[in-house]
Amino acid sequence: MKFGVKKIVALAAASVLTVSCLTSCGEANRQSFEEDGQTYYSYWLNMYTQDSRGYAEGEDANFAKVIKNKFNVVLNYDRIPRGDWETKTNLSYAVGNEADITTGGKEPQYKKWATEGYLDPIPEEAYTGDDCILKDWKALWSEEDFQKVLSLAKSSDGQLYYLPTLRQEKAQMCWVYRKDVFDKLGIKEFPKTIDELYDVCVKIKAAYPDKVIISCNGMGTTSPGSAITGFCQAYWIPELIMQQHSFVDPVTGEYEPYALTSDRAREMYKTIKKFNDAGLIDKQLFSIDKDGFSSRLANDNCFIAYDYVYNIEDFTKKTKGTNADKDCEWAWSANMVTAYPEKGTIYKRDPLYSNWGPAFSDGIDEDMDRYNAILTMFNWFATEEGQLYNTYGVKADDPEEIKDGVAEDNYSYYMDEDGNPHFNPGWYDESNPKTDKKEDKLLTLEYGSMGSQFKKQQYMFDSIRGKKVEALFDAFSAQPNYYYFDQIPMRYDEDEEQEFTDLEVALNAKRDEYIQRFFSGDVDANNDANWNQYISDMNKVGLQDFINIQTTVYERTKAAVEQEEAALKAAEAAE
Amino acid sequence: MVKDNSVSSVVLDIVIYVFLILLMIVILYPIIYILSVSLSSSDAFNAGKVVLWPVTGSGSFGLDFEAYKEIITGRTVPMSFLQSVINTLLYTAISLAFTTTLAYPLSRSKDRVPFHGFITKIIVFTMFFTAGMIPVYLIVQKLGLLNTRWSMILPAAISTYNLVVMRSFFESVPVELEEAAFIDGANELTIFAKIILPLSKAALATVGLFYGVYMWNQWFSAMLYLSDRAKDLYPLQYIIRQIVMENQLAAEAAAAGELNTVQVSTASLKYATLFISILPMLCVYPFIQKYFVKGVMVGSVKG
Repeated sequence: MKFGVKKIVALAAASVLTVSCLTSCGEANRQSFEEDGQTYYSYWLNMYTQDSRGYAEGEDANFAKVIKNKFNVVLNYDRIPRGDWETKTNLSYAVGNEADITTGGKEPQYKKWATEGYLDPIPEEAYTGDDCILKDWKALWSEEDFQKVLSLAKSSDGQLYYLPTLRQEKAQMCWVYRKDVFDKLGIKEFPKTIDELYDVCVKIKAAYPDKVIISCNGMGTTSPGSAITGFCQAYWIPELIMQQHSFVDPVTGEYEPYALTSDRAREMYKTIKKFNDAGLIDKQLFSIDKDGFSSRLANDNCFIAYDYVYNIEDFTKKTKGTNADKDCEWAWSANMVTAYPEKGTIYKRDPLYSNWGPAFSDGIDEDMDRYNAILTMFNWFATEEGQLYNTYGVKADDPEEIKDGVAEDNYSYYMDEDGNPHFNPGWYDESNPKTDKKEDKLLTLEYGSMGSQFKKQQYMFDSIRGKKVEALFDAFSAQPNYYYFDQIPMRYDEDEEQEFTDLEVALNAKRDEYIQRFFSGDVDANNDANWNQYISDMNKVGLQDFINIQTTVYERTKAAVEQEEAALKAAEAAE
Repeated sequence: MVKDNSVSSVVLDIVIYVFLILLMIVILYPIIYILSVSLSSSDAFNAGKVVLWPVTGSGSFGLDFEAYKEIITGRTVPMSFLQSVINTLLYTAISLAFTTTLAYPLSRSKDRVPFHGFITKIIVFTMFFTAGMIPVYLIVQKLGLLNTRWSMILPAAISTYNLVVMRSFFESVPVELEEAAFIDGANELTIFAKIILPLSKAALATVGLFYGVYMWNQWFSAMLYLSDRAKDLYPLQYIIRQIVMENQLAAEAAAAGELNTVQVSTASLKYATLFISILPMLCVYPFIQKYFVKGVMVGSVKG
């Protein structure tokens, strides 16, 4: 009897495992199907979400209806919380469980997956010529800019593995300051040189001895270096140096393979220490998060920051807090700060593109009809019609359909007399967020739309920040001797990619450690022994190898791009 | 016990009391602070006015239940709270069942259990070497457990450490009790269920608490094995992680030039959710403490 029970338990356990295995093998991966005499194509799409609410999905959702009718495309979503996107997507590729389409990646990830064979390239004919499938996507840029985008976004094999999105902002970062305090202290304009910035900070400190003068809006929590990018640019080091490492000087044309061990970087660290020793910079610069910064604003504990031009209204609101009558005004400055006024001034020109467009997993090109169908859909997203739909949804054709201020049948927007779109009452309007996002209808939730792809509809973009960033760009452009760092194409092969990644992790960790030590005074950039120790420590974790890779890749990519441009010109001449 | 009234003894008592009071403050203050922020207005928090007790927008003492109202009327937090409770109860029960039924034979003599040494070595091996994330994921996938509650429960059903604790406790139960039961006609299952388990309440409570706390705090397996299609199964800790990460994600999104994509919750909402997550464990601990002290001493003293 005793053995009988054991056998029964063992048999039951084995049966459960077998049944589980069998049932798990039955999941069909439907790629195309026939319906009413038409062929439809089905895809899994991986994208990140910002919240854990329910999204409209399935064939009844408006978005699904539109793309099914227009492009014979049916999308199944794998929505991943943003913070987990990288881990989960890497895992899905590693276990062969990946979606057909991945959106939301960063360029290094896409290039890494491409070299590992997880992605299929975008067929060159899809974006070459005037009548290609992706002609509207291509037309987001001028022909010259598009060629630059291609040279930057292509992988080492010269293939493009994802569709970049247009970066609508040309410039958005600048120095912002408490104009009311500047006015009160008789400071007529925002400083232009690093010495003037120091003098202005000292003047403010004298008036407000217990206060922090320069702080940071939580950027240091992503990487310590991100909190000091305003200072970087003063010393002619690019704002994006924490990710890009190398750059080409816009005046001399010299290539710098690793900026943060240069003499200019040393001068920058000395200056930051000088500001810190004088009590002018937030001691918590690298650890303060957005909540902490809000608290600084509410307590008049920050007068200068390097931030986004469109944040000044929010800063003013937070500084006022519950006291609407409080005298305060944040303003942005068209002056950037430089340590080398005789050479010129650096501002951050935003890249031509962002990199969270779609990439297509390996195997999708086995059925080119299916591949072309999805490319056609993405191309439509770049058209005026597609942008309008993705940004505003569906318009009511008949004004009668808006009754008692409420749009019937889920129509989300209307056109005003000037032909500009506006959300109907009850829909969340990002450009005018007077209403509660949690209670209003959202396009993503009601329609299951993917949000803006490639470009936000221009009227919406202008209403949110477009006019502000345009004004900033115009102001920078009007300044004499103002320069920006252009992006440089870097195409790593598989071995270089791996070595670059390994070295970058080690170098970043050491770099970030020293940024904090220079700031705290634990090591002093004025002291030769300390500085040499920093260089020595960086060399120990592979700085020279890193410089070699960066230089090799830069030279090779530059030659490849020049060749491509020459070939293109020759082809144009032949036509 | 004779009370020592010497000066040195009194001084020592004072030092000990002061130390313990300080320790209590260090432990209690974060909890009180979380509660206070959750009951304060966001403006008061942003202005840095919340130090110990809840503060209203005007800066005076006052309670603001808005965050709790938002949580209770919303769907996400109540649902994830329920999932965490279900997961914790199920996991604790299943893990205790698996652990005790494995620990008991391993605690007995080698003569009664075939391959005793080999099985023990294999089990201890897993304490030091694991298969890694990808092989485990593949097993979970092949067993059809993805997007089910079982993907969080079954792969971690037995903790080797807890198994060793449980085995040590079972070893301390006199074998004579089993021999007497055998003579009276009891079989292995009867002995295990009616003699060993009732004598092991302290160990069961302790190991049960270890398992319960583990599952209550678990978010990583939910992140790996659950997708958006099973979002109703998200446990509370996973939701909290997302809320806590909002600030960093908002900074990253802004740095990438995205347009208002990350919605950041108010501080009071974040802290209210945090407080709700620690509340159940705060309530459970006092009731288990009497077993816990005895249970963690298992195997520490022999003889």
